[in-house]
Amino acid sequence: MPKYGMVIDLNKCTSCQACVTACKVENNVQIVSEDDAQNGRAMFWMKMLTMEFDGDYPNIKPKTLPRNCMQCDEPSCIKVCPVRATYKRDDGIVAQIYPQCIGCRYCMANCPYTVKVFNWDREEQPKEIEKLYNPDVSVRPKGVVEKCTFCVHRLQIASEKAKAEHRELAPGDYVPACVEVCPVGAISFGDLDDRKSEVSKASRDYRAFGLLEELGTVPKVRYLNAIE
Amino acid sequence: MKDRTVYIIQLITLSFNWILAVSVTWWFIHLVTVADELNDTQTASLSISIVAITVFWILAGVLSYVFFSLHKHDEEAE
Amino acid sequence: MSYQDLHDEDEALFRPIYETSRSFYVVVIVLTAVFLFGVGCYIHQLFYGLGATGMNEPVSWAFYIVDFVFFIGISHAGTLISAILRLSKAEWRRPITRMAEVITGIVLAIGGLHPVIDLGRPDRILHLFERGRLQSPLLWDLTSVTAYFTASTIYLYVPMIPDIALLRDRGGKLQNLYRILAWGYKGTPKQKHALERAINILMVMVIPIAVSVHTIIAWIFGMTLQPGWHSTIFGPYFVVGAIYSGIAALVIVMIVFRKIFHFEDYLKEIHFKYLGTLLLVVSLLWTYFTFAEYLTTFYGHEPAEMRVFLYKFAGGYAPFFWLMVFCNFLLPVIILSNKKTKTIPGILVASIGVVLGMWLERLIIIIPTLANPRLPYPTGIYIPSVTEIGIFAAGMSAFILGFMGFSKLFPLISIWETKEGRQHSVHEVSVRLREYLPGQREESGVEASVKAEL
Ligand code: SF4
Ligand code: SF4
Repeated sequence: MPKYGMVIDLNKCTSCQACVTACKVENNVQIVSEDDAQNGRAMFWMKMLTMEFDGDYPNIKPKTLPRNCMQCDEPSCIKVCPVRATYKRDDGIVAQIYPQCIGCRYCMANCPYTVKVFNWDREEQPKEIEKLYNPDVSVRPKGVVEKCTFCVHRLQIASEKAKAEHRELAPGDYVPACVEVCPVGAISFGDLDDRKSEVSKASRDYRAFGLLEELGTVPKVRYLNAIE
Repeated sequence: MKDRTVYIIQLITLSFNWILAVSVTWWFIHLVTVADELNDTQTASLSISIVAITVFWILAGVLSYVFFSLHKHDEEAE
Repeated sequence: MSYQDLHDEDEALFRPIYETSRSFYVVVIVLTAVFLFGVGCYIHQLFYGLGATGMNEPVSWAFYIVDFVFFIGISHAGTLISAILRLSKAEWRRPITRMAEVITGIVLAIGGLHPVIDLGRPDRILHLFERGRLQSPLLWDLTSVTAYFTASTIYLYVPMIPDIALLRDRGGKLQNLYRILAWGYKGTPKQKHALERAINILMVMVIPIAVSVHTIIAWIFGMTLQPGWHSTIFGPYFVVGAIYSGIAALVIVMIVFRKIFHFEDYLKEIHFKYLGTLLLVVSLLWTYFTFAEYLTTFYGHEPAEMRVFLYKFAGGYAPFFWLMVFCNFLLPVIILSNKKTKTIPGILVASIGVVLGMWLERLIIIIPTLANPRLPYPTGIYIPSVTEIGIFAAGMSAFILGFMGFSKLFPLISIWETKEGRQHSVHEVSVRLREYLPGQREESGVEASVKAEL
C-alpha cells in the first residue's frame, strides 16, 4: 500500500492562490453568500494562511502558507467521530462519508488545524457555477462536514484506468488538483513510503517541517521552510 | 377499573424498564461487534458496555423487586 | 368520602394538587406561548439548516452546547444532593429531596435534547444506533445521560409511592392513575421495609452515576487537543460546577414554590441557612478549582493556551469572565458569609447570581477555545441568533411548565417522609446521638434509656 503525502515548498510558493481556486472548483465546494462569508462561513478546503508579518508598515512582508487537510497519520478528528463518518483509508487518506455524517461537528472541534468546514445551509449556486460542477464529486447537502480529501476521486479514476490498461499505478498518474495547477510547481505529491520518490526525498530535506508536529498528529502534508 | 386491569397495566409499565435494559444490552453487543469490525479501541468499548449493562439491569431489578414485594406483602396483609 | 372530609395535619401539602388559582393558568399560557415560539424556531432551523444559528467557523459549537452542559449541570441538584443528604442521614432533608429529584428529571430531559438540537442532520440520528462507535466520547455521553435519566426517574418514583398511595386513599380526581402508580402500597411494615431497602440501593447507585455523567461531559472537551480544554482536572471541575449550579437552582425553586404554595411551615429559614452554607462551601471549592486551572495555564505560558487565556482575561470575553468571577465568587461569598445578609432574600440573590455565573462559566469554557485556534486564523466572533435564544427560552419555560405540571399531580414535599420525621425521627436521632457520646456502650441500653425518658 502506498502512503500518500504532500510537500509544499515555501521557497517556491508565491501565494498566488491558484491552488485555492482550483480546489474549490474541483471539489464543488459551496459558494456562500456575502453575508455568510462576512460571518465566517466561507468554505475553503485549501486556504492561504498568513502566518506572520515581517517588517513594519508600509513595508510589510506577510509570510503565507497554503493549508489543506494535513491528512494526519494519527488524526484526532476520526477518533471522536461517533458514527465513523470520517475514517482513515489504508493508503493513509483521511476521508469523509457524507451520507453517514450526523453533523455533530465534534471532528471540527478536535482538529488542531481547524481544517474542517461545515455546510451551515445550502444556498442557490450561481448558474455558471452549476454548469461547472465536477461530475466525479458529490455535492454535499446541508448539515454535513467536509474537508480536503487529497482529491480521492482522482485516485479512483487513475487506478481504474491503470487496471484497464493492465499496469500498476505509476507515480504521476494521480495528483490532486492543487498540485496540478500550481504554476511554479511548489507542491510535490506521491508515495511517502517509496524512498526514491520526489515527495519522499523532499519530506526528508533539512528544511522540511510539519505544522504543529509536536501534537503527535504526524501530518502527511509537510512544508519546506522558506530560506532567503 | 378492576383490580386485574390495574395489575396488568402496572406489569406493562414495569416491563418497559426491562425492555429498556434488554435493548441497551443488545445495542451494546451490537456496538462492540461494530467496534471490532472497524478496528476501534476494544478496551474502551468493552469496559463501557460492561458498566452500562450492569447499571441498567440493576435498575430494572430494583424496580421489579419493589413491585413484587409490595404486591406480595399487600396480599399477606389482607 | 371526598377529600374535603379528610383533615390531615399536612393538609397544606395536598392543597396545591386540588386547588388551582387563576394566575396559575395565566403563567401556563404565557409559558406555553414562549415554548411554542421556541418550537417554531427549531422547525425553522430544521428546514433552513444550522445557518439559522450564529455559529460559524471556527466557533462551531456554541449556545446549544453551552445550554446542554448548563442544564445537565443543574440536573445535579437533585438526585446527587438528595442522595447525599439521605445517605448522611441529614434530618433536614425531608422537605427538600422531592423537589431536588423533580428538578433532575425535568432538566435532564431538556438538557439531553440539546445535542440533538445541535445536530446538523437530526434525521440521521439513528446512525448512532446502527453504526455508533463506543470510542467516541459522544457515545459515552449518550450512555451515561440515559443511565442517569433512568436512575433518577426511578429514584424519584420509588420514594413517591407512599405519597401516591395517600392520594389514592383520599379519593378525588385521577383515581385510576393513582391506583396504577401506587403499586398496591398499603403501608404494611413489610412493604415499608422493602421500599426502604430499594431506596438505599438506589441512593448508593445514583451517586456514582451522577458523578460519571458530568465527568463524561467534561471529557467531551478534555479529550480533545484544544488549548483550554485539554486539561486533566476538567472532570472534577465540571462536577463541582454542576453541584454548585444545582444547589443554587434548587434554592431558587424552593423559595419560589414556598411563596406560591405557602410552604413556609415546611421550608423554614433553617433549611435555607443550611443550603446556604452548602452553597458557600461549594463556592469556595469551585473557586479553588478555577484558580488551579488558570494558574497552571498562566505559569506554563504555552502560546496557544495563553491566547485563549488572554482572550478570557483581557480580550473579547473579559466582561463575561469578570462577571462570572463576580457572580460565582464575590457575590455568594460576601452574602453567605455574613450573618446579616444570610437571610432568605439574600440567599435567593446569591443563588440567582450563581446560576447566571455558572451559565457564563460554560460559555467561557466553550467559546474562547474555539474562537482562538492554534494556527493564526483571525479570531472568531460569535453572536447568538434569535433562533438560539428562542430555543433557550423554550427550554427554560419547559422546565417551569414541567414543574408546575408535576405540582398538580403529586405533592412537591414528601408527605410520608415528613410524617415519618415527626413520628420517629426525634426518637431515632436521640438514640443516634447517645451512641456518639462517650460512656454509652450497648445499643439496646441506649434505646431503653431514651424510651424511659420519653
Ligand atoms: S488535519 Fe484535521 S481534519 Fe485533517 S486529518 Fe488532521 S485532524 Fe483530521
Ligand atoms: S460532524 Fe460528521 S464527520 Fe464530524 S464527528 Fe460528527 S458525524 Fe463525524
